[in-house]
Amino acid sequence: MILPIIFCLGILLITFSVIALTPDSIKSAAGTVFSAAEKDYSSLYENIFVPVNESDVVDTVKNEKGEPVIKAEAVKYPSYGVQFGEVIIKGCGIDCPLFMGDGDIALSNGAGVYYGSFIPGYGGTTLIAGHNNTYFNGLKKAERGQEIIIRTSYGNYKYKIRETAVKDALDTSSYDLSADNENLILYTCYPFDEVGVSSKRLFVYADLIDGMAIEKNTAE
Amino acid sequence: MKKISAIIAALLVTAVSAVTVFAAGVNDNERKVLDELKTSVEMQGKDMYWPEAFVNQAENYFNTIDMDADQAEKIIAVIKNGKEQLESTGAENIAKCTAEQKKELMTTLTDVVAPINGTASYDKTSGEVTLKSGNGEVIFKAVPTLVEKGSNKGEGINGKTTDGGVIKITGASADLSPFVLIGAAIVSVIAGGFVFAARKRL
Repeated sequence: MILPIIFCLGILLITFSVIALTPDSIKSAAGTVFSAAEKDYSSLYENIFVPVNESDVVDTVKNEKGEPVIKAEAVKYPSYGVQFGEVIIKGCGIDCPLFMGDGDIALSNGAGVYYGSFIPGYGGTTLIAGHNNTYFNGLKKAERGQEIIIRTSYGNYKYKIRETAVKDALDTSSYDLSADNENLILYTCYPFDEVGVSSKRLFVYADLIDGMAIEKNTAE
Repeated sequence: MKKISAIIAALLVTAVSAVTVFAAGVNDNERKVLDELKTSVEMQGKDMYWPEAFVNQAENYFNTIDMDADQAEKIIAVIKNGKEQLESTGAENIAKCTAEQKKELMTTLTDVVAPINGTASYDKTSGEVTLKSGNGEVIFKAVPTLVEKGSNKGEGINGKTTDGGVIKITGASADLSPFVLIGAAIVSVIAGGFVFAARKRL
């Protein structure tokens, strides 16, 4: 009975060496497990993130309701692909860079705000994507009531998780990009241990509990 | 189709002419353009719209530039003209336009970005159209489609149901082909082993 096993192992070794064992394939295979360290994109994106402290004074103006909002001129609005902040969820062990846009470079280096949603403080939906095998792997621990902190160069924003839900990737009821209230949605592929393309996503919904709005309309 | 070109062209015209300076906020001129982007186009008697996410992309881009009244006027004119052209295609949605019309779209986009050394690209796999300014900045990135009012789901250029490219693939990022090869090899070898064992017994 030992002969078939030796035969199997021998053929497997030869086949693997001839067909699959190339430097690129090894790197690629390793990337599935260690994709965060697979490539260095650090020179491919701009970083405008400069952390601000709670005590830092920010230029403000009053909005139509008489509430203070961050003056538009004080905000360097991020272009697509630019790192402008970081996402921290202590309860999930998440602490990663935050980019404007959710392209490959962004998601290989952190989490990305979908360009058809808005940055924190803008008064709409902030939809953030992250890979489930790297930066958003910790979302598996997300629970109602946990705090999410987003730090940017123009201010810090705290959110509280309201709900988590697994939904179809094409379920457009999972988000409302026309919302006129500040709300945060994080998502990643689900289930976490699935290799390949998944049709499900884990959505984490959170409400703003602290953070100043940005002045939206400016004079010509 | 033409409207898509026109709207995207409008954004690109903005990219060319607007002064790219430090300028968060949307001014009155930019607001007028956004309002125009939200108007409907009649496709086979049905009012269709850009998905909200597409308009939001324009708003995000406008937050990084300053547009004056003259520029806004020109852009709005291009959008209105494009709207009429799109309606004249007789198609139900972008996906239903002929191959020639789709090709025309890409040609138009390429011509539009040429003066700024920009690029227009179409990814056949994802169906996404990406427009970049001369300095490589992404202006628009989505699966082009029109939707009914209140909806966010349409049909992409490749005919697949699409949300316009809102939700991304966020699973294992590596190329899986090596694993497919390895898997195939393992299956072959195990099968071979069984055959070998069976013959030995015979």
